[in-house]
Amino acid sequence: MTHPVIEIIEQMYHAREQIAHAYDEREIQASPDEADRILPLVKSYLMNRKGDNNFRLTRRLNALFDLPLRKQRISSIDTNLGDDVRALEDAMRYLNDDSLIGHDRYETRIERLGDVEDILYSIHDLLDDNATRIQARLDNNFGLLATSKAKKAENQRYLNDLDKLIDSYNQTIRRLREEPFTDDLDVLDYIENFSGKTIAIVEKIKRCQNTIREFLYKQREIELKARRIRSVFSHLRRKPGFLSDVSQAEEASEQQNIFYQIKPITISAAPNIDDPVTREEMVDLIQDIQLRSKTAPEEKTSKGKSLIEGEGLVEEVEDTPEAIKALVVLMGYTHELGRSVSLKEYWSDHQSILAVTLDEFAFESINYLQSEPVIDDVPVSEYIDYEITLIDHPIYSGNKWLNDLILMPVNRE
Amino acid sequence: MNDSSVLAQKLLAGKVVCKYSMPSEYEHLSTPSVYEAFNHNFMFLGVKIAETSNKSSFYLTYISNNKGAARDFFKGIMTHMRTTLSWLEIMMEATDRDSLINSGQDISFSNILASVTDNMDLQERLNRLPSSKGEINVKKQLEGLIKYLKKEGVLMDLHTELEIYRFTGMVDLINEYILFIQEAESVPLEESSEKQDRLL
Repeated sequence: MTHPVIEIIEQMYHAREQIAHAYDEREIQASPDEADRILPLVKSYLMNRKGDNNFRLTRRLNALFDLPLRKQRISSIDTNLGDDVRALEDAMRYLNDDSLIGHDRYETRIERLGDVEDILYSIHDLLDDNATRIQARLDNNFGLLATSKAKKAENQRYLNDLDKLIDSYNQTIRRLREEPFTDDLDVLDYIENFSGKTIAIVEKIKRCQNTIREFLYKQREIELKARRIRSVFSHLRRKPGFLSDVSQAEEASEQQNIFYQIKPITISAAPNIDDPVTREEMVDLIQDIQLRSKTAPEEKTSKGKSLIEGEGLVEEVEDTPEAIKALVVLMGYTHELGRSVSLKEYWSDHQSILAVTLDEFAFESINYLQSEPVIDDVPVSEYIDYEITLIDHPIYSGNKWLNDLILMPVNRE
Repeated sequence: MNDSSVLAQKLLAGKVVCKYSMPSEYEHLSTPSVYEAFNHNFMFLGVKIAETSNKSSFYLTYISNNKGAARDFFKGIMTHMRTTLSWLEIMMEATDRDSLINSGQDISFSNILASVTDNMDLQERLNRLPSSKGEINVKKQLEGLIKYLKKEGVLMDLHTELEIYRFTGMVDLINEYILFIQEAESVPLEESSEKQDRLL
């Protein structure tokens, strides 16, 4: 009998396309055939039915995918400053009441003014946190790539959230320029101070909005091109003879630089084996190759430490990955050199002796350094600092590619 | 022979110098002074350096306005266009149909195989490709296609063991050819997939 877990995994496998779609789109409208694949998952409480043919992933299944896809890193921001404005109004009311009563007037007033200032600071911090969080997401998103649809939805969400935040901020500023805030000179000073400090944050938010708009614009361009190419596929299906009559394109090709591409010129020479001198040289060459292949040392296979050592004894030995061994050497090299070293350049210069690919070396190194490692009871961060450099991914606007890892020695003096 | 001479020979041999398949050559040629020097020297041969529209690759074009040569080149492309459209459609459907296949994009053999195995339409298209001739096993057919694309310089190995490949600048040029045909022949645009989804 099949284990229930295996059965669930198989059910998920049969509906994998629908699950992926539902994960990206939040909800899918399934055809009868797709619904047949999904229904076992509904029975297993992994998907929910919404209406006749609409299905969604349950929160738990969604979370299961979020973890490896790092979706939890999608930033969610608080876009409503209304509660803070109401708190400010309450604080102003207390401030004015105390002013009227006159009981311990001076000290109470100082205390109430402090409350007003605190709330203004909290609005400032909220704006700053939100802007920083979105900026970080835009600048440091690398690793797994999101599909174009998912990326578009994420970018659109950030844009909407930032729009709402700016609207809310503008309303707050308008409200702060009305009574009762304008009645009190001390509060007016705080508000001026607050406005001055938030200018830089608002600028940061606007920069984020522009970046996201640029991403969305690029993505629309890519989507349109993809649609134009798909149109040619469909057109060819409708008119199978279409490619044999493209006279307009042929005529227009004269105006296009891409069709003036040079034809490949073969530059490799074929030896004339009828020539006795060439034949002699070829015999020498073949003999030389044969000799080399006979005397070439056998390639050693790096096995690392085996799990099974000794006669029948089983010993579990945790082997250090090649990438980390190489990183440790690189860290020593950086420290000895006393200046920043690029992992990419180091790999390029030493690839003949390194047993790792560049991607493996870089990603493993980042994972290792981010795990706050310790060597001989001393945190590695006391010796080595690092910086991750990223470049825009060519396809999905907003995704980043890991470009390099720069290691820097920490000056201990 | 120095690096510049080797690079010049590659360009003259019709190679597309792409930032993914020939990174050091691409970087060298991206230096404005080097680019100018190459173009200055190539002028005597009647050729100049051109770039793909997304700036991913360099290649050589004739300076002279020899319209016959352009038409001949176009006809040469058209002889393989049916095959090109078929494999490109398979790749687009198997990866992200809303996005272009661009240079720098990575594909994994196992992912493409899973998509094709799950889709009868893609299987039929794969079966009709010249690279699948005489082969009925889908995996073998796909291996044949990958081999063909590597031979044509469209794909390069990225991770041999894991069978991960990367598209080169050749695919950007292919996209440009198809976009040009769509525009020149006024091929009607199909509805966007979002709209199609809504209609379903």
